[in-house]
Amino acid sequence: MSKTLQKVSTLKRWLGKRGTEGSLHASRRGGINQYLSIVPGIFLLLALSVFPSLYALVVSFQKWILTDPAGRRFNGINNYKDILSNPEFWHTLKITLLFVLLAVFIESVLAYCLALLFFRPMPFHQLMRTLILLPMLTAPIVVGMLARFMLDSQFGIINKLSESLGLGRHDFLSGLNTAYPTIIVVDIWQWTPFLFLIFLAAMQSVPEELIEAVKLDGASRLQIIAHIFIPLMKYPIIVGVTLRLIDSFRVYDLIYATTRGGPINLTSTMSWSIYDSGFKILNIGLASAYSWIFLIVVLVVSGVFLKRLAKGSELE
Amino acid sequence: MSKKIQRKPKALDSLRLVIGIFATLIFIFPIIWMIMTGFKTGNQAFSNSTSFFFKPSLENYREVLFKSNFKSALVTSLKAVSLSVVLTVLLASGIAYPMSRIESKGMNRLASWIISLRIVPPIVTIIPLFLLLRNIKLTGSIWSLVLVYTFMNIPLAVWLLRGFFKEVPREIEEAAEIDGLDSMRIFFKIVLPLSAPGVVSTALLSFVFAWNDFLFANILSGATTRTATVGLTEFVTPVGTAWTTIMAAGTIVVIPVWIAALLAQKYLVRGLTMGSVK
Repeated sequence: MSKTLQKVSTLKRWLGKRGTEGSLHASRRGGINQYLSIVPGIFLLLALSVFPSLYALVVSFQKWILTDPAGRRFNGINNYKDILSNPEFWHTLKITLLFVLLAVFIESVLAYCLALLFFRPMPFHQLMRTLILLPMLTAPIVVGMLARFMLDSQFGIINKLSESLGLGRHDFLSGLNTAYPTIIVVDIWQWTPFLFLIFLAAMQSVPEELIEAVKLDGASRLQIIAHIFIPLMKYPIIVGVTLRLIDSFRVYDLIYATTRGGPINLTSTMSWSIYDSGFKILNIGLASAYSWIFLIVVLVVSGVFLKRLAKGSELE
Repeated sequence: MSKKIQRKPKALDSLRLVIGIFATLIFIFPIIWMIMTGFKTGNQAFSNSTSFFFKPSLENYREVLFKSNFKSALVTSLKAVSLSVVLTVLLASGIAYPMSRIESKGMNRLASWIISLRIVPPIVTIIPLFLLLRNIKLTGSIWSLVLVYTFMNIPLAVWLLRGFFKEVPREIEEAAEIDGLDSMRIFFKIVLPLSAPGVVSTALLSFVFAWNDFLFANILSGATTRTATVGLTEFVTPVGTAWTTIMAAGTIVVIPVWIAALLAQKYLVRGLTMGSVK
């Protein structure tokens, strides 16, 4: 086994070298002209990201409700105080974090198993692989509407099936105990294919000879997974999971189409709460403060993974 | 002994096939159901809603495409998204080309900054953006969507294009340079055509993300500039929800994305991971 592990590390080094070969060439053309084409794109990025964020930061220290004729005035840190002292915020934070971590974790495990299943060819291999990708390619708002239709307590097909299986009818999207898990399940249904695609591609890029070599050494399936697949796939796995983490914080379309944060506030994630306070209550100051808190939460959670990502790319 | 070895994989293979088919069914059943419901009449959908065999009707599609406002929503989506795709590819190439050719600390930092924009949830920028666009009177105009979608897709496009441009052999450009072409001509006459499949895939993926957007469209579009994804939710009225119509409209929304993804299939993994997994 150790011999093979040595091979793995040589391979890694080789892959790393190949990756940086292009950068050995130094640019010969000089002058400021070559940078000019960057300007319009960067200008747009700055105008639509840095400017709004700073604007939101300023507004977050103001009392500004669009329906309030008194207009805007300086409010100190009162917006932040209001949010952090409100138990509803902590409930929303808990719900969001649990949603993100649970959904992404289950998606990763399922996607990994699916990738293992599809690693070796079988009949209709290509067709099945392509069909599995369809949920991920369906607009989230369409998935939300479809979920609402299929899970309806009166005429939904899922309830009809559940009834005929003797499991009874359920108020999936409006029940106090079912709404939140249902949202998670829909998210898992839609996004497992995304990780599946990435994991499968990563698995297929593991050199065949390597797998054959360890097999000859008498390694079991589990040993191959633990010593070859996981270490060699580490980078793609972290990339995929990080992207999923970042994206699952955004969940909005699905909630808009299905529960609208309800019942009560049981599916009110942070994205939804910000939308609610900004565009329904029209409390711009509060929503801006909330946005900044949300941004910090996202940065902290995805930052853990991003750090590992940066480390990984430095090594290779 | 040899018999045992031969038999075991065979049994395992059929088990694999069975699980594979089962998994595929779980992922596509809801989609099949959506497409089927789109061809049902209200009666067929609700009186005996588990039926798989029915006489298909085109009534929902007639409703969606000719009788409702959904057609104009589709046109709006198509206009806004195509304009933004063109703008995305142009602006992102402008950034990605020098980035693929010049190795410097500054460039690497710029690339990291661009990708870090991908982390910011859109809901965080949408409120100030809404106020900003309202101030310059762009809300309710198609251009607010074009700008926002371009902004949304540039980070992805820059990272992808940078990878594709890097794959163009440097020697060809150097030869062209000796022939006296300036960098603008080199880019449009040599680099762009040589990396065409990558550029087209980048455009297709940008199309997918902009087309599927709902949040920006829901907040920024006015009464006359609803996109297809927003139009879809408008079949839900206080009087009732036209489910069979929604399923037909949903199918229409989804099909262009499926086609685009199929065309870009070769680069799908690369595109979805911003070029980090090939």
